[in-house]
Amino acid sequence: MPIRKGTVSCSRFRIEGTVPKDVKKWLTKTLKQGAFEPIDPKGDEDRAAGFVELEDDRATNFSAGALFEGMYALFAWRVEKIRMPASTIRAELGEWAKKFEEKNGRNPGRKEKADQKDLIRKGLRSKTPPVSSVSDLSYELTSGELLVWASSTGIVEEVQAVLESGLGVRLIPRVPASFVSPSVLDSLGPTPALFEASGVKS
Amino acid sequence: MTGRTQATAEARFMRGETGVDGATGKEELDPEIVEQAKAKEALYRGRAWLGRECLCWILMKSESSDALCTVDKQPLRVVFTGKILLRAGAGEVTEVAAKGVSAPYSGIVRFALKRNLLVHGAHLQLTHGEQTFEVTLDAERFDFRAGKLPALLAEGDEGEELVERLELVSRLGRCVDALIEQFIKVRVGPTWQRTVVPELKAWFNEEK
Repeated sequence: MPIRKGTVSCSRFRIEGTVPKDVKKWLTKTLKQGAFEPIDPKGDEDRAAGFVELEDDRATNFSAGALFEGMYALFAWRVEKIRMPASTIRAELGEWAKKFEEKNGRNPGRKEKADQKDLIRKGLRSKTPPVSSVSDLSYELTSGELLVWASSTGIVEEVQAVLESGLGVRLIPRVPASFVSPSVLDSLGPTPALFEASGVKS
Repeated sequence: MTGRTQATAEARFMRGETGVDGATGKEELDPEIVEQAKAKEALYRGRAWLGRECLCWILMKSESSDALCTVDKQPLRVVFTGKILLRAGAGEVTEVAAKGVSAPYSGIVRFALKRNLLVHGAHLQLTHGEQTFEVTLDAERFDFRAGKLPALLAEGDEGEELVERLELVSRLGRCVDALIEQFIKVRVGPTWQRTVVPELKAWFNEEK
């Protein structure tokens, strides 16, 4: 797990908004609301995502013992996907189209092809095991800093959006722009002398 | 033209995909225009220009062995090391990467800086008190990448090891934040245009 060992790769956020006194209740409620639920084998969804415990990516109880370590709340974001190889679908569809032509003396129509593609996908879906990935998260209770231990910008943005709506706060990335007040930031622009060739004029 | 081909052509025409001459009507975009547009977009995305200015300022300041600031009452020294990536928002060359232990301070990098290619990504070594951290930062997101922490004291105890590791990451965060704060103080102050920018330009022009 990257939070435990190896090189450090994470995105940092500062929480902006009211953090209630009962942090445990506040966090647990959001984590349980957004808890991970595996893909329904009979459903149509190819992707599922949600929060899990750090130590066990199948557990979603978030008891105090599982959630807190010293002054940190630790949890994870699990993504499960069913990836059906397009080449397999294409090959099966091609084979079916050939048989269809032999039987009916004509090529299948667009709708017939789409219906068959759907059938092939459904058939393959039940045979394809989902692949899952887990990204760790840590929230420092004293400073209010949240770290998303993921390299994928997509995952970071997804977690950011889910936590913002669940916790009712804004997660501000620790970038230079976030160190400037909004009114001052609006008045700033690239320094012309440093960006002359970039079309920035004084 | 067979009946089927003709029907397809007619359908494409009706959908507006082709003109009366059967051509698609889509003009091939000039790759240079595409590249320039991408470079400009990357300059403004997430206010990367401010991050690039920040990394350039830290690079110039880090050439001296003096501490750039103090964090938790301990001096913080910074050295750029290894790979450095420079980007421009326009121009003939929009990206330059240089690799080498002291590449960030080399004449080649300054030559690029002089031509408005600013630092977009760099690997920094931060010495805070007696402990050394390493991290790669990029101008757009300032995320930590390939970060290396000082050796842990609590090795062996899983729980304590994790807390110590998190505390070290938090300290690295405070060090990076302190550098950004120093830059922002200068950037929004009255001396930026008058003193600091000419100082930066003079540093870019220094012979190495």
